[in-house]
Amino acid sequence: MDGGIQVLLVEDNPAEVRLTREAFAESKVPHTLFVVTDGEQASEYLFRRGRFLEVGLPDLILLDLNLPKKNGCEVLREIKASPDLAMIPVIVVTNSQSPDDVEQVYRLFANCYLVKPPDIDDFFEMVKRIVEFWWQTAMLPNGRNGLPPKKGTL
Amino acid sequence: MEDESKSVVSSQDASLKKGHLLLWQAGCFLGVFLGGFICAKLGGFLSFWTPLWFPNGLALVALLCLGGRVWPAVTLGSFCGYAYLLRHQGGPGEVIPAALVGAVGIVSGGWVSAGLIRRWVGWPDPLDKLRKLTLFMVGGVVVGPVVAATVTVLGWSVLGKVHAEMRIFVWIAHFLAQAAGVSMLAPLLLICSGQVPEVWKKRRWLVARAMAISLVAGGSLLAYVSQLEVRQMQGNIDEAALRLFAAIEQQVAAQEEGLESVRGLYESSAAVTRNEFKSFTKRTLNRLKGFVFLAWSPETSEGGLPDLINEAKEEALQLSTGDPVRDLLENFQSHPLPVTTEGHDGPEEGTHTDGLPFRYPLFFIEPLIPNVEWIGSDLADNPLLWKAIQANRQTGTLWISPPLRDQKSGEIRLLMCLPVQRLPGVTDRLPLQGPPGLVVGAIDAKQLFGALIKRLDASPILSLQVTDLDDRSSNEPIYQSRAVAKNSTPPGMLRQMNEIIDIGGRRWAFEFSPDVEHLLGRLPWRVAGVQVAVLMVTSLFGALLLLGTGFTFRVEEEVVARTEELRMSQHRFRQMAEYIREVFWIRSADGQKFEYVSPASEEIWGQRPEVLCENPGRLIDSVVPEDRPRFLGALHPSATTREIDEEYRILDEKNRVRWIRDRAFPVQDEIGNVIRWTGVADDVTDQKALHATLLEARAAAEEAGRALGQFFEMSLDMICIAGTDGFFKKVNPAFSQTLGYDEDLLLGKPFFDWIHPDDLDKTYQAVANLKGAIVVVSFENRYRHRNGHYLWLEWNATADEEGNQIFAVARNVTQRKALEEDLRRSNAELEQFAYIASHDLREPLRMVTSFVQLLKKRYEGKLGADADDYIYHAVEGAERMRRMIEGLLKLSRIERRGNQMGKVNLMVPVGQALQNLSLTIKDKNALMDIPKELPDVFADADQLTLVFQNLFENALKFVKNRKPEVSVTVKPLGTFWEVSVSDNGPGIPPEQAERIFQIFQRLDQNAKDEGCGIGLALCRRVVERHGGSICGINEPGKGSIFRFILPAFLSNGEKGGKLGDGERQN
Repeated sequence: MDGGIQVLLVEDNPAEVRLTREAFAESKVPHTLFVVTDGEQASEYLFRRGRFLEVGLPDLILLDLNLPKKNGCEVLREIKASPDLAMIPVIVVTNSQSPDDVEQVYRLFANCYLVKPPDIDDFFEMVKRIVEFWWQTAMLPNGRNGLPPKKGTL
Repeated sequence: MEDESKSVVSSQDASLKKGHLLLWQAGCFLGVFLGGFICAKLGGFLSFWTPLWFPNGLALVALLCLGGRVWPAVTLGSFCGYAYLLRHQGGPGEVIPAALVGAVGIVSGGWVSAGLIRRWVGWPDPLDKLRKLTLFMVGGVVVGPVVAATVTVLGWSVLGKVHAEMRIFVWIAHFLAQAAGVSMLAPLLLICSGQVPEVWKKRRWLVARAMAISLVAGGSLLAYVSQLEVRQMQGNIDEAALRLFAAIEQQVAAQEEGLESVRGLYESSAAVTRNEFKSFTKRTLNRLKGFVFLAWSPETSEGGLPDLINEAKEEALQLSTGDPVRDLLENFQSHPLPVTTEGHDGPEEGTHTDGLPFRYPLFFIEPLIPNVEWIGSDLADNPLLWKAIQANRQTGTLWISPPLRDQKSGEIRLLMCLPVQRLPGVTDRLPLQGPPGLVVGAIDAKQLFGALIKRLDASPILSLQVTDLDDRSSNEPIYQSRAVAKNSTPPGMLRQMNEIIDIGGRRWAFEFSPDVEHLLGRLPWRVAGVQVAVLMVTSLFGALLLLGTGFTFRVEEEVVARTEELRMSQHRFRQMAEYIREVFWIRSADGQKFEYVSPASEEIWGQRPEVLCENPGRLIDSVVPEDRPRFLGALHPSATTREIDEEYRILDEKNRVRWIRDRAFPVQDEIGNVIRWTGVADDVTDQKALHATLLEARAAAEEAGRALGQFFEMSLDMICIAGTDGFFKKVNPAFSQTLGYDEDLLLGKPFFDWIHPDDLDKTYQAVANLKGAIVVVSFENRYRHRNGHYLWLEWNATADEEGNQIFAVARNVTQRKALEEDLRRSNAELEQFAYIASHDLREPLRMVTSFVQLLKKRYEGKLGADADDYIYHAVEGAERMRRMIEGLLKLSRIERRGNQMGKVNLMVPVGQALQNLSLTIKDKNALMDIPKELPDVFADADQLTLVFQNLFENALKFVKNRKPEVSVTVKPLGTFWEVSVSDNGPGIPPEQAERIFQIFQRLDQNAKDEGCGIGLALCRRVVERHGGSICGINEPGKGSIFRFILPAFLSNGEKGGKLGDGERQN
C-alpha cells in the first residue's frame, strides 16, 4: 500500500474538492486522495459496503460538516463508535465558525477542527501542514507514515 | 462577679487612690482586731466559745465597701484578734498557727459573702426589698460564717487543736458567734459607711442608732448570759474541788489511823509474830485500800542485824519446805530499798552507810507477794529517809517520805512511817512492850487519789495535781489526774483552786483545775439558745428596720413626686387658662355665679374677671338684645346636663358687633348631679367672616369645575375616574365612542371584564401601584370593543392621596401598536435574512475568491496584461465582498449572539479594547486619555468592547499627519451615563453626521482604508440594544466626538433609565 498517505475526503462541493486536490498537489507530499460526496457514501466507503467492497482503509479522513443525506457529525459519530475505524484521525474542515459546532465536533472525538481560510494561500498552507503533520511528524496506527527509517535499524 | 466587683472597687478608687489605701488598711486592721479583742473580753470563757465574734462582720463590711484589696489588713486584724482570744482562753495546740487558720477562715468567709452579695444584690444597694434583704442576709449571715467556721474547724482539726468528737460543737459555736456578729454589726456599719444609697441618706443616723441599740442590747444579753454560765461553771468546779479535798483529807486521816492501830499492836505486845502481824494487818489492809503494803521495820543496831537475820532464818525453819516465804527468810539479808532515788539525792548520800547507829530493815511486810523485793530492805540506807527517821525518832510523830519511785512498777510510792518508841514524858501511851521500830505503810498515790476522784465523780470537770512542796529537788507532781497536754494553758476565765495540806511533816499542794479538754467538748446549750434567739431577733429587727426605712422612703418619694405632679398640673392649668385667647370660665351648678374667669375675658367679653366674679349681671348688658336668650342658655344651663354650644353677639366698647361662641360643659359627680359648669368662650367674628369668604371661593370652584367638565365632555382622549374597587365612577363620551359601549354599561360592570385575559395580571399590578401612590405612565393594555376585537389603550393615571380614586387618561394606540409590531417583525425578518444571506453566501464567495486567486497564482503574466488586470479586479471585488458579508454577519450577530447584560465597569471594555489595539496605538504613538475611574453600567461587556474598539480604531485611523490624541470622558445623565470619545482628527462633515452610522457607508469612498463601513453601524446597533443612543458631533478645529449613553447600574442592582428617565434623555 505505498503511494504515500491515504486520505479520504468527504466533500459535496466539487469546486472545493478541486481546490483540495490542488492544495494536496502543491504540498508535494506523496498521497492518495479518495473522495466521496455525501455522508452515506462516506459510511459505505469506510464500512466497505455497496460499491466500496474492495477499498482499503484511509490513514486520514478530511470531513466537511455540511453534507447531503447524512451530515458530517453523524458520520463522525459512526466512525468513532466503530472499533475498527475509531483509531483513524478525523479532521473536520468546514466553513462554520460557530462555537457550538466546534464544541460538538470535539465531543464526538474528532481529532481536529479547522476552518477553511478564505485566502487561497492560507488554504494551501493549511493543507500542506495537515499532510506534513500527519504523515511526517505524527505516528499513525499500524506504523504507517512517511518518516525516514530510524538510524541503526537494518 | 468579676466585673461587678471591679465596678464597686472603682467607685472606691477615688478614695483609695489618693494615697489613702494605707490609711484604710490600717483602719481595717485596727477595726477587725478591736472587734476580736472586744469579743474576747466580752464573753469568751471557754476555749473557742465566744457568744459574739465581730471580725466576720467587720471583714464583710471592709471587703464590701473598700473592695478586695483590703484583705491583708483584714487577715492581719483577724489573726491578731484570734491570737488574743486563743491565748487567753487556753486549750491545746499552738496559738499562732491556730490564729492564722482562723484569720484565713474569716477572710475567705468574708470574701465569699461579699462576692455573693455583689452578685445577688449588687452593692451599694438600699436593701429596701424583701428579696434583696433576704439574699443579703443569706449571703452575709449564713454563707459567710458557714465558710469561715468550716475553714477554721478543718484547719484546727489538722493542727490538732480540736479533737474529732468536738468538731461539731466547735463548728456550731463558731458559726453562731460569727453569724450573730455579722447580723448585728454588718448592717449597722454598712449604713454608717460612706456608701449610703439614697434611701438611707436621710435616715442613716436614726436607723444606725436603732441598730446600735439592738447591738448593745443583744451583746449585753449575750455577755450577761455567758458570764452567768461562767459563774455557774465556776461554782460547779469549786464545789467539786471542795468535796474532793475533804475526801482526800479524810482518806489521809484514815490511813494515819490505820498505821496507828498497827503501832498499837506493837506497843501492847512484847513480841509480835509474823502470823500475828499478818492477821492484824489483813483487817487494816482490807479497810484501807490506799496502802500498797504495811510493814514492820524493827530498830536495830549494826551489831543487832545478824540476830535479826538469824531470827528470820529460824523462822524459816519452822515453815514447811516449799513455802515461798521460807525461801525468802532463809535468804533474808539487809539490802537497799528497791526504789530509784534519782532526783532525790540528799546532801549526805554515800557518807552515812557505814557506822550508822541504827538500821531499819523491813522485817514484816504484808501483803508479801507483790512486794517481795521490799523484804529485808533497809530504810536507813536512804539518806532522805534516814534524815526523817532521825528527826522523828524522838518525837514519835507520823512522817511521810518524799516520793519514791518503785523500781519494779515505776509508780510513785510514799512511805508513811510511824515510830514505835518509848517516849519519855508521854503518859497517855501504854508502856512499850516490844522493841522499838517503825510501822511503815506504803501508799500508791495514783491508786489513792484516783479512787477518790472516781468515787466522787469529779473527773469530768476537774483535774487534780498533787505536788510535794518540800521535795525541792523534783518538779514532778506526786499525782496528776490526767496527763496534761503540752503547751496547754488553763482556761482564762475560770479559776483554779489550790489547797495545801501538812501531813507527816511534808506539805502537799493540791491544785484543782477546771478540766480544759472536758469543757472544750461541751456546748453550753443555754448560751447557744440565747445566741440563736439574739441572732434571730437582731436579724429580724435589722431586717424590719431596713425594710421599714426603704418603704418609708419610697412612700416619701411617691408623695414628693405626686406633689410635684399636682403642682405642675395646677401650674399648667393656670398657664393655659391665663394665656389662651379664649375665656375659660367656671360657674356654680345653678349658673348664677362665676367661680373663675380667665383674664382673656377682658379681651373677649370686654369685662375684667374680678368684675364678673362680683357681678355676673354686667355681662348680659353687653349682649345684643335679640341674642340674650341664647346667651342665657349658654351661661345659665342649669336646666340641662348636656354640653351646650351657642353663639351670640355682643357690642364692644366701640359699639362694634362681635360674635362670641360659648361652649359649656357640665362637671358631674359620680351619681350624675351637675356640681359646676365649665366653659370656653371665644370671639369668632373673624371666623364668621372667613366662613363667608370660603363660601364665595366654593362657588368660584364650582364654576371652574363646570368649565373642566366641558373639557371632560369634549376630550378626544378617554378620561375617567375609577375606584380601586374595579369600577369606573365617571367616564367621558370618548370612552363610549372608542369602546362602543353605553356609559351606563361602562359604569355598571368592573372594568376588568373588558380587559384582555393576558393583560389582567399587569393591570392588577398597575392598580395596586396606584393604591400605593405610584403614578402610572404609558401603561398599555387591551380592551375589548363592543364588536369583540381588542383595542390597545395607553394609560396615564394617578390616584388621590387615600388611594381610593384613580384619575386616568387613555388613548387608543391600536394602530400604533400594529405598526410597531409590523416593524418589529420586518426587522427580525431582515435580521434573519441578513444572517442567512451572509452565512450562506460565504461558501460560494469563497469559491469565487479561491479560484480567482488560484487563477492569478497560476496564470498571472501568462495571459497578457489585460487578463492580469481583469484578474486583479476580480480578486479585489471578491475580497471586498467577503469583508462586507463578514461585516453583515457581525452586525446580525449583535442581536442573535448577545450575552446576558449585567453590572459592567466601563474600565473592563475600555481596557480590553486598548489591549486589542495595543499594536496600532504603539505604531501611531497615540495618546489615549482615559479617566482613572469609570462608572458601572448595565451592559454586555463583550459588545461594549466592540464599541470602544471601533471608536478608537476610527479615531486612530482618521487622524493623519500628527500624533493621535483620543480621550474618553463620562458624565452622569439621570440614571444614564454619557460616554464621549473624542479625537483630534479631521472631524465629521455635518451633512454626514447621520449617514456614517448606516451600514456600508464610508466617508471617503476612494480612500484605500481597511474598513468595510460596518464599524459605526455596529456601534449604533450595540448601543441601541442597550437602550441608549449614539451620535457623532463635529467640533471644528478639534476633531470629532462620538457620544453615546448607556443605562447606569444602580445601587439596588437594577438597570437605570427606566420609563420616565428616558424622556429627559431625549
